Amino acid sequence: MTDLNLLYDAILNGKLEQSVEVTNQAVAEGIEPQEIINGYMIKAMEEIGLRFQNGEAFVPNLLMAARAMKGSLDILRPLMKGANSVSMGKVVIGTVKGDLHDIGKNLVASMLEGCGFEVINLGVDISSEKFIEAAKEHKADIICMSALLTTTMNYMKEVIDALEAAGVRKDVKVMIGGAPVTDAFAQQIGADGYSENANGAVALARKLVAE
Amino acid sequence: MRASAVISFSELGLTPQHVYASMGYRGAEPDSETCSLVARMLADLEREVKPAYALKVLPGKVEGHSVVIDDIVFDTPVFLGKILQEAHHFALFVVTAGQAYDDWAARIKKQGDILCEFVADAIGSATVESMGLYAKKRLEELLGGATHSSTFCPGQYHWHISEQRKFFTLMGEDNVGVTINDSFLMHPIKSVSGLIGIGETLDPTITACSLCPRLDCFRRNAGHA
Repeated sequence: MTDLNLLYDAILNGKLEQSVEVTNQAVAEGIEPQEIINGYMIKAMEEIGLRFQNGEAFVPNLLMAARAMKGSLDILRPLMKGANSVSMGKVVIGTVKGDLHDIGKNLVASMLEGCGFEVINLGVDISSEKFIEAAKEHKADIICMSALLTTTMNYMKEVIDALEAAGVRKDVKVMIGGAPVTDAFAQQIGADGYSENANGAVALARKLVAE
Repeated sequence: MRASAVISFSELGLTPQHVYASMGYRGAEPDSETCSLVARMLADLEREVKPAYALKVLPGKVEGHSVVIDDIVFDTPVFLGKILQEAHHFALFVVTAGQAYDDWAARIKKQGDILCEFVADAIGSATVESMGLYAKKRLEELLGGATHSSTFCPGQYHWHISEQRKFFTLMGEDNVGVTINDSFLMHPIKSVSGLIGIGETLDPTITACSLCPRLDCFRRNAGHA
């Protein structure tokens, strides 16, 4: 019988190969994917997120954990259908027009994916039209916008205004992040939430899809 | 007065500790796996990267809060006008990790491992930071002890990034291959431009970071303030 605590440890310590190996063993033994995910994998991600928030873990630890989580999810996803779908929600994510910084945004995307969200990563320098088009096409629950510059963060408001103008604002939540962005700024431009780090972004996304 | 050069990576004196700082470790030592990865990637990049700098010193002044150099008027923020009020010359510089870094980072990104992508980005940031320090040291040698301000860059703390256009007009051909796009962002991606005021009463300890109210900024946390 597979010891699923080894899977928890593998994800917590960012060990991809070990994570995949234990997941394959669990699947071969007929353990329900949902039990594996909820009982062990998400708990490991929550623990590494907590450690990061407390300064006991660093960005690479988050990335390695998310990578291990994704490796296991890739095995489990095809086994889940309909009501048992693993997706916590669909997220369209991108760095706003005029800004080419993508590492923080990719970190958030990776964490969201690792925690069970379906992520459509649009890349950098994304116009309001592209955000809206992708949100419509994928029936996104959340649009995530990132900016690293004080001079490009104002474009986030343009995207929100464009969502209103296109009549889709009520269909999608908007969350924002990036070095110059604050909670006050999020409220000022009419976003639904702000997170200062990747771990907080996952918690916020969970909260927004539950609303 | 002007100077420019392409230098070897080893001349930068970049250490793994610089990269760890860029990765957010704040003085802590990463686990052995991450240390090995950084060492491996640094060695890989060293074979390819060609960092470069260009700088020129021009006479100028501050009118109101605007820095004026060669009849080009920068819309510098009020705080910057005050800091640079007594400057009589300005050193303009651009430093870059170079196109070879961009090509290397793009290859790593294609491999699809976000950890390697993150480390590559941190190495690029640390490289261009070190290049900036190298260029500043070179400038100080040229100035022979003249007092100067710290470095200020378009796009930083209320100095609009569109001012890059004026900045690169002044740099002219002395740009070591760095160009700006329609969004005023530089190419190669790991490049920094900026100016330093020169004048007897200027205070080099006043930095944009030290004036910025964002205490949780990653640059401040990486020790730039």
